[in-house]
This record gives sequence, structure tokens and C-alpha cells, in this order.
Amino acid sequence: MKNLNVAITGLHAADSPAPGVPVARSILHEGKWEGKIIGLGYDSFDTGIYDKGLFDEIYLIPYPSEGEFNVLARIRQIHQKTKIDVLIPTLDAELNSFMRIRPELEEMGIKVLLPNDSSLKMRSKAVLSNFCEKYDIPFPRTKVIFDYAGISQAIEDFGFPIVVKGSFYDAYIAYSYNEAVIYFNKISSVWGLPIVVQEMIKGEEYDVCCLSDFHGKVIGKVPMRKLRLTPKGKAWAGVTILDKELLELSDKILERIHWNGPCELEFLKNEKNGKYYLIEINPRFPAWIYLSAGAGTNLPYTAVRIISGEHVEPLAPCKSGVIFVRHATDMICPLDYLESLTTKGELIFNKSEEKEL
Amino acid sequence: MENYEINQRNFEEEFTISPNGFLFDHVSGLTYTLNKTGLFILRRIGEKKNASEIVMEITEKFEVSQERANVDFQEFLVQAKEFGVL
Amino acid sequence: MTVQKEYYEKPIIVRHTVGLTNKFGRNPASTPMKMIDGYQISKLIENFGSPLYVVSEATLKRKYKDLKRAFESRYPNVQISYSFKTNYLSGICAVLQNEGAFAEVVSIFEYEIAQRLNFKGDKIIFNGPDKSKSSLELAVANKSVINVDSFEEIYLLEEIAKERNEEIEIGVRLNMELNYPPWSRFGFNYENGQAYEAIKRAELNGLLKVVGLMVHAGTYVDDVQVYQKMALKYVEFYRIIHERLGITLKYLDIGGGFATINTLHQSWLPATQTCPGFDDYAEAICPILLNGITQLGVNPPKLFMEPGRALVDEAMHLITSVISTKRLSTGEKGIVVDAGINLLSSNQWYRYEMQVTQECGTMVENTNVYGNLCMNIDILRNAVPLPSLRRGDSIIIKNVGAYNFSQSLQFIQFRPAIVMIRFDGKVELIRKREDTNYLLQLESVPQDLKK
Repeated sequence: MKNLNVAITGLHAADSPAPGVPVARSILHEGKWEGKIIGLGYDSFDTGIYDKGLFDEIYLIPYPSEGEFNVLARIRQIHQKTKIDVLIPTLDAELNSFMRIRPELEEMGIKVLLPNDSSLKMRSKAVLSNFCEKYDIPFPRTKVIFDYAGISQAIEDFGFPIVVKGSFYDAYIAYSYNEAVIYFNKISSVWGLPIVVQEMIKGEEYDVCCLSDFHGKVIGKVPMRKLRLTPKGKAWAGVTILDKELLELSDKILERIHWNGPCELEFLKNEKNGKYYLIEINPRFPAWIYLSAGAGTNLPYTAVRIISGEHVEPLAPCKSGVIFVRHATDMICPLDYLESLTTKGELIFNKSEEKEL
Repeated sequence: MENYEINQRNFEEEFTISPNGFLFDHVSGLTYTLNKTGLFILRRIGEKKNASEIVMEITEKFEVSQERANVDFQEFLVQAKEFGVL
Repeated sequence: MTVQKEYYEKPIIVRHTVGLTNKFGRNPASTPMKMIDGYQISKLIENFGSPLYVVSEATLKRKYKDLKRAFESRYPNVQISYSFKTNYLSGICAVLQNEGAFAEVVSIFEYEIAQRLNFKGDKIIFNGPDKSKSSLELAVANKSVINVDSFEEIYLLEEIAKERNEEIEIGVRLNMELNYPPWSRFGFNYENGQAYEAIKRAELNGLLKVVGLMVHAGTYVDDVQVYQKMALKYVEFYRIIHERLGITLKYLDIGGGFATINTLHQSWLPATQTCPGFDDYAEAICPILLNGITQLGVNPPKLFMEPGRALVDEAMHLITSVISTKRLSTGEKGIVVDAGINLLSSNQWYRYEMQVTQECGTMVENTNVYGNLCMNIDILRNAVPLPSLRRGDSIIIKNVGAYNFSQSLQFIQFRPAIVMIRFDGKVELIRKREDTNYLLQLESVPQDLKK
């Protein structure tokens, strides 16, 4: 299995980090990898591109917003150059494209582990509340809105503060109508409509990263309490925990939704009643996934095992009390890297002859 | 044909130009991409050739009329000047 | 010795910025689309001039057949009726008529187009908020399907029934809360009981007989759940009027509103990834209607549907040629083409896909595409990643079939010719390019002012 070439997307590990870099690190965590780790980036300045310690080859691919046929054409081109065995998309906005081109990828011999259409729809921010209602899972009251009138309605129903979210990314807490309008515009100008508005639940934040196999069986779970948040609410430090109630709730959710592949369940433990409220299901690994390797339940590595066809039994619970702390670092890069990326759309690291900087 | 007016830069010192059309301006720190013909022209400007020489060379190397090569050459100059490359 | 010369590309220099469209992966705009239905676009322009609307008969037929199949495989009695207002070019209406479509009209003008095309009266559905007494008389005499929009129409039809001394069958347009904001200005509201009252009132004097219901969910509705809701409410309402008023319906009309592959400005993902297929819509509507109605113990009524956009949007393109290229003071690139927003009104909703029709090199730059009207607002689309174009090159603006022609106007420029690429590959002119005589034929100058 370790001789497989694994391609990973989502390489921009900036203020709101994409999970591609930690996914690559997790795979490499289990000893020497014989195959190639291939990074698929969107922009010459996606930060992970320059990490030659992790990646063997980097290729730029078109944004999903340019349509899945262009993505497919580019992957076909890359595949002819460097055989890709396994592809792990790590961004929400990519999933639709990759799901649509899945048959073509598989025909080329590129294996993927993706959720199915109906479970992806069920978890979308706009309709997750319907799912929760149906299966009696606590969740914050939610409204899907298309204009300012929707904001007023939500304020009337939920009171302040309210949480304003984009359908792919971004979430802000608004304490006034005007603030909500600003966030509405800010998010919709980048990610379009609709906007999701939720009541604010106060409490501690917990995440569970889960991995289900092709049959929907949950293979591994890593629950984490956030220790430190950035102003945007991203976990910058966290600790693995062991709470049976949280794990059972996660199992229940994943079984009901018939999930395949990785996902991150985000919960708030309501300080009023002590119950876990499901806030979101992110259809991919989280950016803190390297913690899973540290806690002995390496989910990205396990995902490659599953994708490669290995039969994998559910993993033992992860070690609790393992902490991650994220820190930013600067890499020094030669001009050649940028030259190669901007003119050829690729960067092949020559690991044997390291260039003197 | 009139000659062009540009700020003649010191190509040796101030630019890194790769055969793939990548251009790094050491003075401004900006980077650019040139297509094949753009690169062809820039190199010849670096060699201090005049406009008619360059246009002539374009028509010798590429399948294009002199009129069209000339118009495109002038437009390229405007673009490069706007970017501060020339 | 002659040396083979290299292929020439216009020289370009592009400054790198973060988020620069990465050119790795085929960029759709710079990949030339040289043909429509196997016919050379360059030849079309040579023969018919630029700009040019081009209709694809093959696409129209394919769309119609696909829609019909999706619904007929799930419901026993389906009739598609083409919403004329979307694009009432006679050629287009005639193609759909030949496929078996009824005509759905919302004015006497559209009614007369249908008549000229020899649609039989009972194959015309007459909808809309503005029906004059004379137009209703015409529709009644022709036994057209009439969906009433207001109480005033009910009174008018009662008058006509009295005058003709016969009972008139009508349908009632409902509006209901399906999505936000609701379209409550057409027809009678379901939730507040107005629709029920309207039906009671219509049948009160024994002059009118309610045989149909009509609802229109909205326009470009890409959420099939909206149609599920509609089907559920239809079933519930039918139960109420069947049990309380003894009404048995001949038809249910689900209107139109299906989305197409054109991407809305507000949508980040391309619509090819978000637009449901006809099967998705049919699956959302038909099983609920069929089960619900069967449980009432009545036969499923005919299912009318009134698609417009879903049939024609992808069946028409606009080809336009570059007049000039600009470098704006902001550094942005611009081109001026010979078609303006007077020919492309829906560009306010859609981020229309644009593609070159000849090889222009592969390096692209975000380009603002301006129309030829001498007006600052005449912008067809901003920041289209296009290769370097020169005067005379043409681009194709794709999938412009819905509303653009019917809302087009002569403004500063004439409206262009329209050709149809027939199913057999031949090209036919279906509307001539306008000229000054055509435009001025209805005008007159007061005698004393004439020179």
C-alpha cells in the first residue's frame, strides 16, 4: 500500500487553513512512504505547494467554479504524466465536482472515497436542520435566507446574537441587524446565496472527526475539544477527549446519514442543558487532522488503506489527552519554484539533489 | 518605421527571464508571464534592436504579415510600459 | 531552402497577481467553439452577418423529448405546453408544436401568434393577469384552456357565459408559500383560504365550472423540494375542494420555473453542478401527486406543465464580433463587441458563458466584454477569461434562448438576423435583420413639419 501515489488537494494552509497539508503529514507519519505524495493546488501561492518535505510533485488544477470538465481534463493530463492511484479532495467546494467526475476517475484507475449524493445533500448547511429534526438530534434553529428580509425574520425568531453563515465557508456572529447585513453581504459576495442564519447556542466547542468506509461503517473517530480559537473561530489548539455520549451521538448521526469517507462533526455543548448540539457536518477531513496521527488513530492513513481496497476493521478508540498546538512558520524558496508553477503549472521536487539556496 | 521610446532597462542586472516566459523584475519584485511571441520581442528589446528590426525578425520567424506584426508589437510595448517593465 | 514558419500568437505580457486565473487545465473561454450542430460558425457570420442569433432545432427537440420522457415515465397523462413569452419566435414555437407542445400564452398578442401557427383552440392555454373581455370571448369560443387570475376575470367570464348561454370551464390560478419570497401577486392565495373562496364564488351561479388548478413555483427554481411542497399542497387542496365542493378536476397545471445550466451571478458553483435534471423534478412532483390523488379515489387529472426556459435556454446562442480592444485606465482589459445589452437582457441574472470561435492563442486575461451601445451600462459581462482578440474575431455567448429575444429591443442598433440550424443540418433564416424601413413604418411626421 505504501507504494501508492496519493494526490491531495487543499494546500493553502493560511489563516483559515485547508486540510491538505496535515493530511499529507498524517500519511507520512506511519513510516517511509514509497509512492509519491502529489499536491494539487489552485494558485501558485497556495502555501503547502512549497513544502518539499511533504510533497514530491505539485500540479495546479482549475477551480471547481470553472466546471468539472476542466478539472477532469487537467487531472487526466497530470495522470498521464504521473500515475495517480488515490485522490483525496479536502475542500467542501470541490466535492460536487469530484463526485460528478468519479466514474471517469475510476475508469482511469484513480480511486476515491467520497460521500454519496444524498448524504452530501442532507448535510448541506441549508437542510441539515431537517435531518436533525427527523432523527431527534439537537441542533440550533436555522433559517435559509436570500435577502435582508430574511435577516429581520431570523432576528425576530431567534433574538440576538445570530450566527450568519455561507453555504460553503465563513461564519460570523452578529449582534445587530446592521452587523448581520454586513456579514450577509460579505459572505454572499464571495460564496453566493443562500445564506444560513442560526440561533446562537452558548457553550464549549467540540469536534469529532470521523471516517466511514465504502459501506458506511464507521472505522475511526477522533473527538477533540477546542482549546484556543482564532478570531475567526478556527481551532488553533485542541485536545483529544473521551466522552461516550459524544461518540455515540456521532455514530448515530453517521449511520442515519449513510456517510462514506471522512467528515468532521461540529458540536456545541449547550451550557444551559448540557446537551451536544450539532452545528455542522463538514464533508472532509478537518485542518487539525494531524492530531489523529498523534493520538494513535491516524485517519488519513486509514483512509488510504480503505481506498486501496484493504479490509479495515473499526479502530480502537484514540488516546485522550493528546494536545495539538498549531504554529505558523516561514519557508525559504528559490525563484525557480515560482517560475515553474507560473509557466508550467507544476513543481517537481528533486529530492536527491537539493539545490543550495 | 519610427523607433520606439522606452526606458531602456539593464536586462542583465534587472531581469531574470526564463525560456518558459517567466519574468522576474529584480527592481520591483514583480513577476510576469510572457507568451512565446512576447518573450521573443522582449529579448530583442534587450538586445537593443530597433522597431523595424524586431518586426522584421517576427515576420521571418512566425507566420504573420508585417502590418499585423507591427500593430501587435506597438500594442505589446504599450502594455509592457504600463506594467513598468520597459 | 524555405523554413517552416512558426504559428503566430499575438504577443502578451501578463502580470502575476494572487488569484490569477491559473491557466493549467483547459480554460473554456479560450478553447474555440468552432461549430454549432456541425455547422461552421465562421460560415454563418459570412452568410448572415454579425451579430447573429443562432437557434438549434436539434437541441429544442432533444430538450422537449427529454422533459416529456422524464414526466411520462412517472405520470400517466402529461401535456407540455410551451410558455410563449420565453421566446415567441414563430420558428421556435413551430418546432415545439411539431413535437406535440401546446401553446401557453399570456396576452392577446401571443394568442394571435399561436393562431397564426394554427394551434387548435383547445391546444392553447390562456394565462396571465391581463385578459380583456374580447380576448376571453375569443378563448371561450375556441375552447382554449383558461386559468383565471382574479375575481374580475371570474365576473367577466360569467358575463360571457350568460351572453353565450353556456357553462364555461375554467381553471383557477393559485399562489402558495413555496419559497421565499412568495409569488403572491398572481392568482388566489392557498394558505389564507382565498383560493377556496374563489372556487366557491366561481361555481356560485352555475355559470362557470372549475376543472383545473394552476400554480407557478417561480423562475429558475433549482431546488426540487419547492416542487415537492407544491405537489403536497396540490393534493391537500384537491382533497378539500373534492370533499367539500364535489369538484373533480380535469387538469392540474404545475407551471414552469425549471432551472438551466446557465449560472446565476449569485452562485459560486457553475450551474452544471447545481441544476437538477428533468428526472429530478419529475421525481419530486409525480409520485406525490399520483399517490395523493389516487388516495382520493379519483382518476389522476391531466398534468399540464408550462416550461419555457427549460426548453429554449440552451437552444439559442448569440454570436458577436469584436469591434475594438481597450486597455482601461484601471489596467483592466476590455473589448467592444457588436451586440449590446438590448439583445441580452438576461445578463443581469446570468453569468453567461462566453467562448471564442477561432484560435486566438491560449494565454488568457480577464476581459470586460462591452456592447456596442453608446451607453456606459452596456456591459455584457465583466472579467471573462479570454485570450487576446482582435477586430473581426468573434465570440459566442451561449445558451441565451430564454427571454433575451422576446425582451430584446431596437435601441441605437437594429436587432440582428436569426437563423435556425435545422435538424438535418441545413440553415434557415427565421427572422431577417431589421432595417430603417421596418423600424419607422408605424411612425409619421406631422404634415406641416415635413421638409
